[in-house]
Amino acid sequence: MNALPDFRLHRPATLDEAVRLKAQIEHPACVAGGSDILVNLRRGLAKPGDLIDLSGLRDLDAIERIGDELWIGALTTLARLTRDGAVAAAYPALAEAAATVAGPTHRAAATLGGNLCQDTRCVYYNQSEWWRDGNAYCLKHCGEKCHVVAKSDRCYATYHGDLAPVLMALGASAIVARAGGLRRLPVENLFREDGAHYLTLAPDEILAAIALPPLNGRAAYVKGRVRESVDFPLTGIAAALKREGDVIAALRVAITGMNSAPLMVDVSKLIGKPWNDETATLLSNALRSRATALATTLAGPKYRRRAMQGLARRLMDQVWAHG
Amino acid sequence: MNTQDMRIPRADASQDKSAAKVSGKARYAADIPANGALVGRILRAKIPHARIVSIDVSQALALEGVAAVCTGADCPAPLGGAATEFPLARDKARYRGEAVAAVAARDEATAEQAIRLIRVEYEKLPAYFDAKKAMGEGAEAIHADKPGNILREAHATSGDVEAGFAAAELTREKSIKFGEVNPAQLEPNATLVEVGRDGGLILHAATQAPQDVRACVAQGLGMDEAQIRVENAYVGGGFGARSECAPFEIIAALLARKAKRSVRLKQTREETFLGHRGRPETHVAVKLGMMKDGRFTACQVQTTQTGGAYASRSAADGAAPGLYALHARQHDLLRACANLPPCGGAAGAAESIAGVEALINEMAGELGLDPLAVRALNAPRELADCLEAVKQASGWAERRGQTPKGRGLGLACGRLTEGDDGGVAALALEVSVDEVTGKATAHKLWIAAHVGGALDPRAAESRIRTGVWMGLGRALSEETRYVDGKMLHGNLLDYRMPTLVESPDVEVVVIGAADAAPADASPVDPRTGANWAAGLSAAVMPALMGAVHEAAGVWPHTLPLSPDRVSDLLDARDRVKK
Ligand SMILES: Cc1cc2nc3c(=O)[nH]c(=O)nc-3n(C[C@H](O)[C@H](O)[C@H](O)COP(=O)(O)OP(=O)(O)OC[C@H]3O[C@@H](n4cnc5c(N)ncnc54)[C@H](O)[C@@H]3O)c2cc1C
Repeated sequence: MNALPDFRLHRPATLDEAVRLKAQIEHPACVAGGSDILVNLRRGLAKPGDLIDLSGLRDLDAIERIGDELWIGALTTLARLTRDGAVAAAYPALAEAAATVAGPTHRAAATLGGNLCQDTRCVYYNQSEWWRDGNAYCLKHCGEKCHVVAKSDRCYATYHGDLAPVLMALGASAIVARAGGLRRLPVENLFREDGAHYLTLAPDEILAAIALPPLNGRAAYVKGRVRESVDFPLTGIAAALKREGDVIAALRVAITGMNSAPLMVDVSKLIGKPWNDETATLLSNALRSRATALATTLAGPKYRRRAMQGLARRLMDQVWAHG
Repeated sequence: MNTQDMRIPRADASQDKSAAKVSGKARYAADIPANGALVGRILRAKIPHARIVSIDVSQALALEGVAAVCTGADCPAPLGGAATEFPLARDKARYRGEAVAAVAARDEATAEQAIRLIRVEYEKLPAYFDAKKAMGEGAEAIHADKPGNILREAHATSGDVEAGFAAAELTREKSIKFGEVNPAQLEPNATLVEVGRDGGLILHAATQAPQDVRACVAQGLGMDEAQIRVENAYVGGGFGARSECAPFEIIAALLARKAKRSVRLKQTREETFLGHRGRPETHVAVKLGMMKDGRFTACQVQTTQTGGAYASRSAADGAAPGLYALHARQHDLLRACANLPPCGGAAGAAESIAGVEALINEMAGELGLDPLAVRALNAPRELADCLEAVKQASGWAERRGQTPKGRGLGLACGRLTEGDDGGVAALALEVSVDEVTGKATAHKLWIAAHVGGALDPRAAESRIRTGVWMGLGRALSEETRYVDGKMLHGNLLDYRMPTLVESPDVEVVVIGAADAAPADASPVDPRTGANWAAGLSAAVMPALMGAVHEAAGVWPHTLPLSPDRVSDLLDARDRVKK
């Protein structure tokens, strides 16, 4: 078996305590539901001396209305997201996206914060220590070479989280706790397009909650994968559309499973126009220029790009029809 | 073994085990408590083909907490008497992942550290990962006694094949590739070996072949079989991986004897995948002659397998019995040996049948004939009965060609087992193809099987369902993937077995089952509930290919039909249209 490495386990009871620990300890790792990080620790992808268990932070699992926003605590489980009344009523796309993550037993443990902050993935990275050792490791971990893009100076591991694109399309903000208090930033700014350093959070920061503005229009998420359960997205597209009569009044589109970060797609050229073949081509071009997709998954990049294009069109047809 | 032992279990007996399994009460080999057992760990080759120059275990042995280190030198007896495979590699490592040394230590961390301290000096050799290259001119022999890297060859001819093709009104040839599949049994490999006071060994093994494990362990350790007891209460799946003694069982015993203490050897999912012994990648080149009314005149099949570095000892002979009343037949089989994990003994009979079935569908289409009628015209009575039953159950006559856009019905036949004996089956499959994602989804499957009177109908039905389900995995998504012999699929995310969501409604018609097994019936091993899977997959795969054709207008020739493959076919189709 792959045993977990030895570490000191910390179980803070409050967010303040957790932030203090994170600031004090050098290179700590955090665990929430554990469905991502425990797999990686067992594979020797990190050997943290200290592990901070966030699951005791009861102040982080509330879903509440604050002003006209809905705040969802970072420790909210995905299982709860799929059945919470407030979420389902205001942001059904979020509940639906949560229901597509992994399998039911994962979702019972998996958290919103863990889903957003989950590690990037690559066929050369998500392997055992023995396997990676036999492959001279890689840029993301312990090695000098990227096996996906030869001679590259950055890691191209791909971000495959399902919830980030939906939250980005919805215009959500991340509420981040740190020693001085809270700071707020758009969800897309949590990420950086670098497979090895894909999060912008500072070492002493913890994601506390997500704040969702009211949805004015209609949002949806579509996920491309081989099996309709368990599988990560090979591509994922989220869209939030405000339709006014026969024109696109506002539109936000975000993608996952393609690059080292979930990305907003520039759809400004579509605004003020109807959804038709012409705007579909504009969207297609915008997606093409934004999405990379490299050989980081067993299904090839060509497939992921093709599926992204087709699914995006299908998604827009659907939100347009219901918008 | 007396016939009492051989009887097929009654439904209530098997339910007993099922209840323990689903309630979590069942204790598997890894769950058996063993206070103070040492932890076993295997050092595996990181290069696919190499001569082992030397192994230095001194530093590992000197590490505190290490009780025993074993290498190939500790076990000169080949695995189960097969001349080539040893529990621990001796002169050469022939695939990436082959066991080279093993340690027993007080805990996992120490065992892991000890493994790292073992120094192996290798002399690299050229490695081959496909049959063509392995059998190519001047290729390095993976086994000294197998020049040309041919692991097995078989040729069978009956009737006048040449005359058959000369008489044909339509002759077609197609080459079809079936991906390698792993047994992917859910329970990872694990063995607990206890050392008795008298020096005897008790193995708690995850095996379906306890007698073989006992015999091989005795042979490997040079012990008397009477000194070895093998216990196996529950087995979490086998599908070919556990039908004979595996190297790690002998390794665990070697470690326990050397350490004179109990040793628990648990393997990771990745190591369990490396154990393999599933079906190798198989190319089937089929040539079929037909009259315009659908009568077959001759059939020629050439099967080429990219076998592993070793193969199961329980090798089938490779002659693929045909399904139809056709005399003029020729079958040639070549299994190459490659630097890949050991595969099973199956010689591609199922794939050969699948290839022929696929071509029958294509040729029936070309001649404007109903593929069911073509088969009925050539089928012996038992198969014709199955075809008729499937025709009725599926509403074939009314629905074929009438399915809505994006949907299709496919049909094919197969054998339950890979040999000549055992029953035959026909099945129809309704499939949809998503033009956007390239995903083929199986919606409904109708199968009629003539089981030859050997089973009680309920047991037969459940075995058919299992087999069909496994066939769907092979047809839709399961396949192994390597880069330079490095296994990329060694986990249950990348090795995509269908989930319950992908499992269609299956309607089973059992023909010719008796209520109880007659004493003289040739029984199916009651513990390997899935051994109809290979045979049935031979029918599921071409049925899927036919259904995809009706749904999307493309004929696939490479399996599994994962969304990326289907997308490529759709794109090629659209390029032609433009
Ligand atoms: C078989 C399998 C299938 C999967 N399929 C999918 C899928 O389809 N889609 C998908 O999106 N994911 C999938 N996952 C990944 C994972 O299960 C989910 O992303 C899950 O939501 C992660 O949440 P968690 O709470 O378990 O994270 P953890 O494993 O606890 O944490 C993940 C990372 O996030 C960090 N983290 C957690 N919470 C915080 C916080 N509040 N602040 C700062 N950092 C934090 C941790 O330090 C860690 O680095 C799958 C996993 C497995 C094993």
